[in-house]
Amino acid sequence: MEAFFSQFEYLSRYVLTGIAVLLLLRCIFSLFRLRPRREVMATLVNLADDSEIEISNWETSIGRSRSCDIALRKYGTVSRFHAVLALRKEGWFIFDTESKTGVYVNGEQIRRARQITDGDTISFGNVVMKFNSNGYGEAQEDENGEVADFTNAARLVNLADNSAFYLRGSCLIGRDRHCNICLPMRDISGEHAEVYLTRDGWMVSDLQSENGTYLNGELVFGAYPLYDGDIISVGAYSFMFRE
Amino acid sequence: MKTLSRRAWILYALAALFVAGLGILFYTFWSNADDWAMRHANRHLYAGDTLTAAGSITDETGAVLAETVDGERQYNENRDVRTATLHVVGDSEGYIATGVQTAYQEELTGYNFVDGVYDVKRYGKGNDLQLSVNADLCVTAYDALGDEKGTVGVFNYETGQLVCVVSKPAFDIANKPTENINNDTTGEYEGVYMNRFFSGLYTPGSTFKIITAASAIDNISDIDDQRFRCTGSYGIDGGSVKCLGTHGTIGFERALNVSCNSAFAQIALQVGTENLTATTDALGFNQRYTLGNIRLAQSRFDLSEASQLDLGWAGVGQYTTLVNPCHMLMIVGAIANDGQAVMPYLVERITTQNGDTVLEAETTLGAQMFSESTAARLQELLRSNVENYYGDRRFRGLEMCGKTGTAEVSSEEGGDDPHAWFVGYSQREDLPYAIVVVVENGGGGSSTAIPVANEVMQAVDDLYGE
Amino acid sequence: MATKKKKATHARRYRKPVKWPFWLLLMTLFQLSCMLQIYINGTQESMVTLFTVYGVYIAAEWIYFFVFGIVLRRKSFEIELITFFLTGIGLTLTTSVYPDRAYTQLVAVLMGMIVFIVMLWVLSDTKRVIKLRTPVAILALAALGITLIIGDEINGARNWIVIGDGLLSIQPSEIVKVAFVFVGAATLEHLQSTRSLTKYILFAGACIGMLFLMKDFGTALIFFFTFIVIAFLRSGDIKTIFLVCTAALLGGLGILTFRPYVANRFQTYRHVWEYSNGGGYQQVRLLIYSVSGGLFGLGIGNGRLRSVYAATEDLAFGMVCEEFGIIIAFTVLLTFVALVVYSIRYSVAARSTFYSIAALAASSLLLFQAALHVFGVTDLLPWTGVTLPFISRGGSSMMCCWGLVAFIKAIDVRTYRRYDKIERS
Repeated sequence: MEAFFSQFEYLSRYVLTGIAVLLLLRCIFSLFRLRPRREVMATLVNLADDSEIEISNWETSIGRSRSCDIALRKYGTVSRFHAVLALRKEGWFIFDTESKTGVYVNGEQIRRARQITDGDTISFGNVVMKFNSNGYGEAQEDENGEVADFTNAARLVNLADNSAFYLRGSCLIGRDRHCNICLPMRDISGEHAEVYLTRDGWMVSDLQSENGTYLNGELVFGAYPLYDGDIISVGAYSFMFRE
Repeated sequence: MKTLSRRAWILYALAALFVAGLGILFYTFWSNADDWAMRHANRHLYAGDTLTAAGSITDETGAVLAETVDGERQYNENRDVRTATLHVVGDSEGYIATGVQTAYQEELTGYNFVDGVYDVKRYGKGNDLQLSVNADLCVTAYDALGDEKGTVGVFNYETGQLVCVVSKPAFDIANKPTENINNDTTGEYEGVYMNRFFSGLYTPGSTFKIITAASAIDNISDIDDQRFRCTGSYGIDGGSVKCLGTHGTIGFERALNVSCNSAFAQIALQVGTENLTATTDALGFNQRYTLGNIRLAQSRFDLSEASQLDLGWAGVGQYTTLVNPCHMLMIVGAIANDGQAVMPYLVERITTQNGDTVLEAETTLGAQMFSESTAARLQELLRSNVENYYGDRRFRGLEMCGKTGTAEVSSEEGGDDPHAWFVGYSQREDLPYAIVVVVENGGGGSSTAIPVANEVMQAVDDLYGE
Repeated sequence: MATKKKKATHARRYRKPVKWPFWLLLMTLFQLSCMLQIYINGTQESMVTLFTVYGVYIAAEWIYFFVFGIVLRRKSFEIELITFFLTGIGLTLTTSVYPDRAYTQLVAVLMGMIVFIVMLWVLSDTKRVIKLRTPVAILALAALGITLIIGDEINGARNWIVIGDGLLSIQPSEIVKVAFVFVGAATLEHLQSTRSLTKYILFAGACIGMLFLMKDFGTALIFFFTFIVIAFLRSGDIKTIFLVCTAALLGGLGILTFRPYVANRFQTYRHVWEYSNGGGYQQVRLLIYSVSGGLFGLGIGNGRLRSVYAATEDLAFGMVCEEFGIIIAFTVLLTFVALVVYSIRYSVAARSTFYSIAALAASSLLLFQAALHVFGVTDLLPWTGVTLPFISRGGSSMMCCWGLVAFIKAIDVRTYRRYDKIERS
C-alpha cells in the first residue's frame, strides 16, 4: 500500500497537470474559436429607393448618427438616435427612443414600443420602410396553445433567399407535395433527404435519392450528425443548419 | 449593437495586458527561481540557517565528508579531515563562499525549475556530490603547512582533477569556535572563511620569473647567448632593483636557477612593457576564471603607469602584480602539458538519489598558454632549477621541476616576512601532477615552501605513482 | 455559386462544441486524484469530511450535467467545465488545509450553483431583467449601507456581517458585485433613450464611497474598474471617463496626503525581500514556495505555504503554484482571459446589449480581480489582498463568482434553447 501510494503520488503530479492542461486548454480553445452564428434575421426595405437593409443583430439602432447600426445620414427629419428595432422572445419590436419626429407603424404613431410583424410599414421621420421578417420572431403556437420560444428551434436556412424553415421532429426534403420542404425541381427525388432528431441531436440522412445529398460538400451515406453551421446541399439548393 | 461590439474591442487590450503580465511573471519566476528557492526561509531546504536538504558530500575515495542524518548536517568523524577539508566542503551557513555546500547548494539540493524541490520531498534529501580531492592528502598538506597560514593545491595537469586543496587557517566545523573567530585580535583566524587557493591573491615574487623567462624566450632570439652582470643590485633611472645575492656574470639559465633579480630586471627591460603585457594576457592575467560554480580571484598585472624601474621590479614579480594560487597552478600545469592549459575541477560527480548522474567532471582544455617550443624550453629550465640549484635530494625520487619564490610584502626593514612560494610539477610520466604552495610570511621560498611541497608530493606519489 | 462554395468552406471551420461526457469524466478523475492525495497526506479524523465533500461535489457536477446535458439537451458546456474545474481546485485547497471548514465551503459552492441556475433563469427574459434593475440597485445600496452600520471589522476592513455569534459571516460587498454588473448593463433602447450616465455614476459613486468607508480598498478598486468598463461600453464617452479617472486619482492622492497611514500599506511594494520578516512576510513565503513547487507541483498536502497565515485566501495563487504546479497555475489564469475573449466575440450576437455589457463587465471584473490578486501577491503591483476568483476560500465570493459566470453564460443565445421541447421521431 505504501509503495502504491508513493508511486501514485509520483505519477499523479504529471497526470494531474496533464488533465488540467488538456481540459482547460480544450475549453479555452473552444471559447476562442467559437464564433457567434449570425444570419440575416429580417430586412428593411426603404420604399423611397427600394434599397434593402439586412438586419442580423437582435437589437439594431436606427438614427442619423454615424454610430447607429442603420445610419440614415442623409435624412434631416431623422433624429440622431431615433429608434431601436429589437427581436425579443415574443417577436419583433420597434422602440421610439425619444425621437423628435416619432415613429409610425402602418401610419400610426407609437408611444414607446410596438410589436411589428412581417409586412408592416415603419416610418422614421420622412423615411418609410417596409419590414420583412425572414421567418424569425413569428409566434408559433404548439398544440397546447403555448407560445413556443422560437429561439429554441433548430432551422434550415435557405442560402438562396435567407428564409428559415423551423425544424420540428422530422423534416422531409423532396419534390413531392407532402414533403415539409417542397422543392419542385427535376433533379430532386420525390423524397430526397430527411433531417430528424435523435438522442444524439439532429441527423441528416439521404433517402436513396438519385442525385445524392451533400453535407459540407461530401456525399451523405446513411445518417450523419448535424452541427451548427453545417451546409446540406440538395440539387441546386443549399441549406445551412442552425441551432 | 455594432457600436457596442466595437467598443468591446478595448477589452482585448486589457486581456493582452494581462497576458503580458503573466509573461513577465513567468519570466520573473524563471529567472529568480534559483535565488528564491535557496533563501534560508525555504523550510523545504533549510532548518534555521542549516541546509538540511543537501545530499552527502564524499571525497575521491568515497569517504563521506558531510551528510544529512535525521534533518541534521553531520561531517566526517575525523577531526583532522573535517579541518583540512573545511574550505572545499564549506559550511552550511554560507560563510565560505567557494565551499561546495554554498557554491553548489542548488545542485546539492537537486533544486531545478522543472521539478522544484520534489526530489527532496521524495527521498528526504537532495543530490550526492563527489569531490575530486583526496581527504587524506588534504590532511597531509594541512599538517605540512605547520603553524603557518597558507595554501597548497595539487592537480593532475593532464585531466584537471584537483586532488588536494587546502587553505589555512581553518577550524573544526563540528566544534566551530565562533566566539574565538568573532573576537579574534591575534590574527589567528584572519581570513578563516576564505579559501586562499581559490580566492587568495599574492605577490608572486620570483615565481613570476617563469613568466618573464617565457616572454624572453618568445621575444629575444639570442637570450641563451646573453650574459648578465649582477653586483647585488641593478640600477635603473636613479633607482635600483635589489638582488638577494651577488651573482657575478651569469647566463640566462643560471640566472633562473639562482633567481637573480639583477639579470631578470635587465631581461624585463629588454622584453619591454608591451611584450611582457602580451605574455601575461596570454596566460590569463586580468581575466576571470570560473571552475564550475567557483569563481577564482582575478590575477592582476598592469604596467600602464609603470616607469622603467617599475618594469624592472615587475620582471621579478614585485610591483603591483598579484597572482591567484590556483591560476599559478594552471600556468605551471600548462608548461608541464606542453603549453596547453587544462582547467582544474573540484567536483567529480553529482548524482541524484535514484542514481542518475546530473554532472560528471570531464577534462576541459583552457587556452594554449605557451607555444610548444617555449613550453619545452621552460620545462628544461624548471628541471634545471631543481637539478642544479635546489637539489633532487630534496624531492627524493620525484624528478621535480619547479621554481621557488620569495615575495616581499613589506618594503621596510623588520616588516612582515616575505611569502614563500613553490610552484612545480613532477616530470615522471606516471605522476602528472603539479603543485603550488604558498606559505604566508613564511620567509624564503626554498627554505619554507620546498619542504611542504616535497611532503605533499611524496604523499601524491604514494597515492598515484607507480 | 462561387459565394456558396466560400460559405461552405467557411462553415467547415466552425468548431464543434466540447463533448462534455468525456471531459467531465476526466475532471472527475482529476478530483478523485486530488482526494486520494489528501487522503494519503491527511489525518484519520478528517477522512469522513474528505469523502463527503468530494462525494457531494462530484455528484453535484454529474447531476448538473445530467440535467442540462441529457434532460434539457444543451450543447455547449465550456464555461461550466471551466467553472467546475476551478471551483474544484479551490475546494481541494480548502479541504486539505482547513478540513474543519470544508463543509462550509461545500455549502457555499452548492449555493453558488443554485445562484448560477437562478441567475440564468432570471436572465432568460429580457423584460423581467429590465423590470428588476431598479429594485436590485436599491437592494445593493441597502446591503452596503447596512454593512456600514452593523458590519464587523475583520482584518482591517469593516465589510463583514456576522450572524449568530460567528455561525454565519457574509461579505455583502461580494454579493453586491453581481448587482453592480446587473444594474450597469442596459438594453439598447434604454441606452438610446437616456444617453447620460448620471444615474449610473451616482449609483457607482455611492457603492464605491461606502466601500471606501469600510476600508475595503481592494474591492473598491474592482468596483471602480468595472464602473469604467461599463461606462465606456455604454457611452463610449472617453471625456467623461477621463474626468472621472482624474477625479479618482486626485482623490486617491488626497487620501495619501491627509491619511498617510494608508500609504504605509504600500511601503513594502517592490521591497518585499527587505521586509521578509515584517510586512513582506507572506509575499516572500509565497515567492519562495511558488518556485519550490516547480512546474508540476509537490502534490496536495506536501506544501509549506499552507502554514502561512491566510494561505487559502490571500495566497491562493501561491498554494496552486506550490501544490499543483506552475503549469496549472498559469493555465488557470489563462482561462480568465478566455472568458473575456469569449465575451468580446459574442457581444455582437447577444440577444440584447444588456447581455453584452453584463458579460463583458463580468468577465473583465473576474480578470481584473485575478490580476490584482496574482500580480499583487507576487509584488508586481501593490498588494491589495483581494481573493482569487473561484479558488480562494470564502462563501460570499464563491457565490459572487458563480453569479458573474451566469452573465457570461447568458450572452450565448444557445443557452436558452430548449432542445427538450422538440419532438423526437
